[in-house]
Amino acid sequence: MLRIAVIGAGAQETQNAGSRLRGALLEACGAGSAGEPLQTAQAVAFVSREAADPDAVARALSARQHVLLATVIGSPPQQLDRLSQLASEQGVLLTITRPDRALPSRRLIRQQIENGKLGDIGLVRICRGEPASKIDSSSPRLPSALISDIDLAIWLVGRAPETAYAVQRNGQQAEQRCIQVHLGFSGGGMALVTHTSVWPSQDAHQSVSVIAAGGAAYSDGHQNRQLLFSNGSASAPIADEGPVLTALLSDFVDQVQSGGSCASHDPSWRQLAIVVAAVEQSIASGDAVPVECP
Amino acid sequence: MWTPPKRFRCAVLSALKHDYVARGVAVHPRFELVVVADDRQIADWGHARNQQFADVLGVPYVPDIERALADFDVDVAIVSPEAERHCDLSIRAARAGKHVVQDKPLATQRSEADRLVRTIDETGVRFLMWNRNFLPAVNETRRQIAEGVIGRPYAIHSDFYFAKDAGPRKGERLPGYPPLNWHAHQIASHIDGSDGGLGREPMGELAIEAIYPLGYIESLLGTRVERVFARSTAHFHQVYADNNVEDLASVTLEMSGGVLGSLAIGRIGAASHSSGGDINLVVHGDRGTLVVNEAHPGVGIYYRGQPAKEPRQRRVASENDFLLAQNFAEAIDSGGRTIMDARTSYDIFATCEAARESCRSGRPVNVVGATQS
Repeated sequence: MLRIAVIGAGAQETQNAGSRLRGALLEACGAGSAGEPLQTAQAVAFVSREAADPDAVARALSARQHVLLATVIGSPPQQLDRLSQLASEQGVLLTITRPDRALPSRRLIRQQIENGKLGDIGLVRICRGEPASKIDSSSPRLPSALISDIDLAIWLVGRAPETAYAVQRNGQQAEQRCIQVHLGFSGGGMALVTHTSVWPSQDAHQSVSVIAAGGAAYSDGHQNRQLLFSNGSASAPIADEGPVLTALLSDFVDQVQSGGSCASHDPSWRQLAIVVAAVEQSIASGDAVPVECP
Repeated sequence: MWTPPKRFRCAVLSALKHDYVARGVAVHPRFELVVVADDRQIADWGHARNQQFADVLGVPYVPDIERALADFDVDVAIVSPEAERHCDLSIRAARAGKHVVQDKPLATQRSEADRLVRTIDETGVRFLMWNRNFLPAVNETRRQIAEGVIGRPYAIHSDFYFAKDAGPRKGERLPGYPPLNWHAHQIASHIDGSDGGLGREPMGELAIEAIYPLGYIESLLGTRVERVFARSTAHFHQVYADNNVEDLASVTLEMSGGVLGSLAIGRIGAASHSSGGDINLVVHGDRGTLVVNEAHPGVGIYYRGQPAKEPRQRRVASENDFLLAQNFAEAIDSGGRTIMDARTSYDIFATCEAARESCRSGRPVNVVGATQS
């Protein structure tokens, strides 16, 4: 049994994931925790941006614990390089992934792409409306959800973009913000990724479309909603896609148990960091910015 | 004494491309199609197509536009030839004092678009670019926005995909074959109505179809596109690739009033959707968001042996044709604007032109619309 300390998820969420996993025991730990569960764990899963403190990750790696960094990357590439190097030195696995990739809808789309059913990707279109309350209006950084969506677009296209253009517009309230990211890929592919803070609702909307040479995939919040009639008005509740944490940890457990090493981890986080930097540069300059991924 | 409203006598100035414009106008009882006309020097297949439509209508076909406009006491010209002749026919009709309903695109050259807008301004006739702005879902969206349900809009996004094929798929032909001829392909495509790009000059989907979603955005928000960044590719169809025009494009729209928008558009192949294509609008306001499926209301129809190309979701309750014609009639009666007049059409043309320039340059491009031109 692989003992995994989970940092950044609640006890109930961790327990739910644990009940669905084979070959692993989970224990929820608070950020900054130094207690017994963390010290005796063979692996540590950091599953929120707040929890993914680079020092804490480094401590876990130094303690020869495998690490799952399942969060949108907020760290600069150099920092991640150092962590990767440390994992290599310690002979443990460092897996960096983004939670949205584990959503069943995203996995199904990716599976269809990998199976060749859709053909070459021409356009990935992601539109997200997020509750304004989630926006940190004091931060100049891109919202986590937008970074996650940029990652998703790159993951679905399957290669890094060669150019980025991005625009930001603010509404009357500081939290009202619309950021549009336009990515161009070699060979003519493109991605439009839009993030808008929805005001004043706590509700959210998201759609992902993949337009490909042989077909298309639509994961549309519009189509996925139910209708609720109550007290003379209608609303459109959405059933969420289930416990993402389970899928993330399941993959991680498989990797650890199959003896995966740090050398095998997905390097796309580095591409993502470069693309995010280009997007931020484009917003600041008002011009298209070439993306130079290694 | 009760007086019936004036009926407008209409000349169909070429039915080479879409006869649906003329048919759409004729849905309204105030419009009557009285003649089909075209220039004598057009190709034989053009005369044959015009004659066929005239026969269906039971009206004469006159291969002389000026004579038809004069002899048939015409009030309105309905213009749908090859794209290169759009402006010429509309301008000649306007100079003859006829109101104009024109098929898209507005023009293939900016100089022609300039000439058309100038002529419409000078003659004072009414001009309507045929569009989809009165589809039920768009009407409802317009109503919601006008009533302030979502507050002040500050972002709008439109997907406009036609799930249709256009000849052989890209890469399907054997090497060594000559490039597909655009004009010949469009002429042949008339049989299923997919000849929206009819003309000698190849046109991509930005030129052919973007007027619809850009028309939605303009009619919903009243904003003007000031700057665009765009990407495009010939991704699906050999005829687009051979003629170096796009069948897929995405556009970032920076609009007046600080509104941000985006457009994804393409002719993306019949395999991509079971009912003609996914067309959506998302409008964010400072008090709420509208997520709109343009195909609603509709009915799903499924049955054993159903032809593959038959849409599974059928649109219903559309009065778009009637409402466009009604809007046009009201504009003629009042001297007011139509829902898509020459200047609005020009702005959309300019947006598409800037988008294509952005695709070529890889840079954002300012839009020079009717007010700046």
